[in-house]
Amino acid sequence: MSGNNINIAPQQNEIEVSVFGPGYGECILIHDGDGEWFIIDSCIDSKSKEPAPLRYLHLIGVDYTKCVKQIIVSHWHDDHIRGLGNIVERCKSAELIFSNALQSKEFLTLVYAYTSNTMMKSTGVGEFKKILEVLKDYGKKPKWALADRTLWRKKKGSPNKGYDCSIYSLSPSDSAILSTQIELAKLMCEPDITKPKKPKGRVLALTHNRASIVLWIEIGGICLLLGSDMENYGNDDDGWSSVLNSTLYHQGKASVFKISHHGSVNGHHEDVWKKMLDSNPIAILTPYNRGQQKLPTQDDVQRICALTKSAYSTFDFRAEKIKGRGIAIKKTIKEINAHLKSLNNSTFAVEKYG
Amino acid sequence: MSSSLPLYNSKMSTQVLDKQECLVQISDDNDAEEEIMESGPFEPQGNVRIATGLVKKSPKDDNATVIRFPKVPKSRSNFISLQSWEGFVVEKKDKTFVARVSDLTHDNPEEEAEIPLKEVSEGDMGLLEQGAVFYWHIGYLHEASGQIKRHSSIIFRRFPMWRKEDIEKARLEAQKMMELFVRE
Amino acid sequence: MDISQRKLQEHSIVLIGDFNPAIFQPLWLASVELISKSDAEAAEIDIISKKAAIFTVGEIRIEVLQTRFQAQTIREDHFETLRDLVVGIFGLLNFTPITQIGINIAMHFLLDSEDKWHEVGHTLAPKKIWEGVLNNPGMTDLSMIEDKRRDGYKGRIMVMVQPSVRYNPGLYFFINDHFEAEGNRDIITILEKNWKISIDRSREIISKLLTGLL
Repeated sequence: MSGNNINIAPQQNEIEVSVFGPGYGECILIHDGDGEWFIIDSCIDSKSKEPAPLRYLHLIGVDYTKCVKQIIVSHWHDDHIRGLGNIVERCKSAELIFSNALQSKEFLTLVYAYTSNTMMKSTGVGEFKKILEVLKDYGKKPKWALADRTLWRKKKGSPNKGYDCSIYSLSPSDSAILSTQIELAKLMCEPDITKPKKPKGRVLALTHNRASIVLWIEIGGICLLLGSDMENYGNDDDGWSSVLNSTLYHQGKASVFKISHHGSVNGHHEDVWKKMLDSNPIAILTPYNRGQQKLPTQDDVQRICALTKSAYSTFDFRAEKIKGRGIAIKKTIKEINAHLKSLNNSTFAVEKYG
Repeated sequence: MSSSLPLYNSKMSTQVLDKQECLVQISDDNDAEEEIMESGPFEPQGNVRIATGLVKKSPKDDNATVIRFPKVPKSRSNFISLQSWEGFVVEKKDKTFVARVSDLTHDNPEEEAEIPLKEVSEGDMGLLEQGAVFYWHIGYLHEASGQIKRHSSIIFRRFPMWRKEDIEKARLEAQKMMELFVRE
Repeated sequence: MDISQRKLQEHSIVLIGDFNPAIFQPLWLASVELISKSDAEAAEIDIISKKAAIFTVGEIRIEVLQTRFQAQTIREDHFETLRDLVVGIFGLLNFTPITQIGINIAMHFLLDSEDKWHEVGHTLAPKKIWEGVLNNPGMTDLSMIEDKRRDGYKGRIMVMVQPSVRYNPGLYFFINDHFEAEGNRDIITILEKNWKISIDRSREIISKLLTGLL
């Protein structure tokens, strides 16, 4: 298995899992060992400003217009899927898969309502709108991921070439779909003539991640569990509890785990480690470095390191340098007592925990 | 109203009648609408008649049928921006608010800003809530007095508004997209 | 010299159409929440009548005649507010017939010396042809037009260069980015889609001219 070298393409029969995470948003790119690729979500490479998976595929000489077979959109908010509109447009052969929680007229209305006449740099759903426009232009229909659904199944072409490959979605559950749709409906603001008119603003991401898609992938006997942003919600119908009740993953245990929700304690479930994962799985997380609550915390790191000796993070703490801020600007910021912090970090970096 | 003011055959608003210093003659002649004089601090330079540009033409004489503005223009400050951001509010705290800001001046990554609430004008305070969009400019303010000083300006957007028609239009587009999704 | 050395930048949006000046009043703008109540109360009104409405709210000056609407400001921190105000007004008055729009930028620069100033004049308007025609000829105005827009819209781009009347020795650039309504293309939609592109393009034009001239 290759390490962190972005210029080396996986070989024939080599399974590769790449995780990109610059501190906000993440992307997972999977090679099935036989020249076929799968993209889950997206983020932007800080240096090239291109979608990270496309930049990587381009660097290793892969024709992503043909070789990307599926694009799985496990989130809907701009912050989690930056560049995905671009990916959908360019990866013409790829099937597009959305969380079933988004298959609602209310959600689509929200997207169109927030993106019309705004003249804003970022609306919060601009990326999803772009994806919808591409679907409209190409007359394409997406597929929908929900609990216990097979998204991809392929037998290997010949005995020595490639592997059997299956991808299953283990979420969202029916309960999660309903909760998400109710929450999304609340983000729409029906004008009320009895109240002062409200400007539209930017749509904020939901505080919970019930719509996210947990994936179970089997390639040639190796199992991968991609936890997206799944959390615990204190009931069996939702969150990790409902994933654990899934019928589809009982074929084996995963040796690779993309840790959910940036390694947070909310995203942790003991039974996931006991029942779904090998002992000492390769565990990767993408940190979250925005807002007041940075993830993972020190406690999170300690907990994860106690569960596996192979824990990794995608984060490089050196923030990208800010250009063009002369003394006058810096002085003024200081005088008004404001504070600014860059949020972009290197996309192509990895750090081992423990 | 003085008879020396041959006003157009219309009812003037009370706001204008109160302005003693305002001497206005409004012409029936449509050409006059294209002749805009110096209007004080915003006077256009440019002696060319352009349909959608600013137009300036000197009056020929006092009886010319043009619109005249107050003789004593109010001086205004002008602001030259060195750096600007578009931001949205993530959290409102006691004395500050946290925002994510995108650089509009240079190609820089997004930043997180924590800004004192006192930087927001009283008129805009009612707009400050999660998701609210604002523009933040830092630059030089050239005051009418001639003084130049560094200045930070935060202005919250009042637009676009939520309107029933926009939501109806969004619903129709959503409906069309749903039809594409369920189509065989 | 580069664009960062500008002494003053003015932005204006001009619409040609069919307007009713009498309805354009600061208190109306406040009632539809396009401006704050305090800005409306502090507005400086020159005239409001059936034929003309001219007032200043905050840092934005509005002038409305029956066939022309104009909003302008010399405060760069209010450029977005000006844009929002125009789009907001005509979003509400969406039956107003508007046939043309100009998204305009003007800038004043102070030059180092009169020699530089003359050099600019000589570059833009070579004097050889005027020798023997006029004594000591000087350029007062140069306008250039890009008659066919490259972006597929109907209209033109006009660039004007003049000696500045505010700064001496100074240069004044004025860019009129002019669009015309065509078929179902609504002028306000054109403004929404093209405002940033237009401002950036005008700044680039001035930047290139400055590089070429100074």
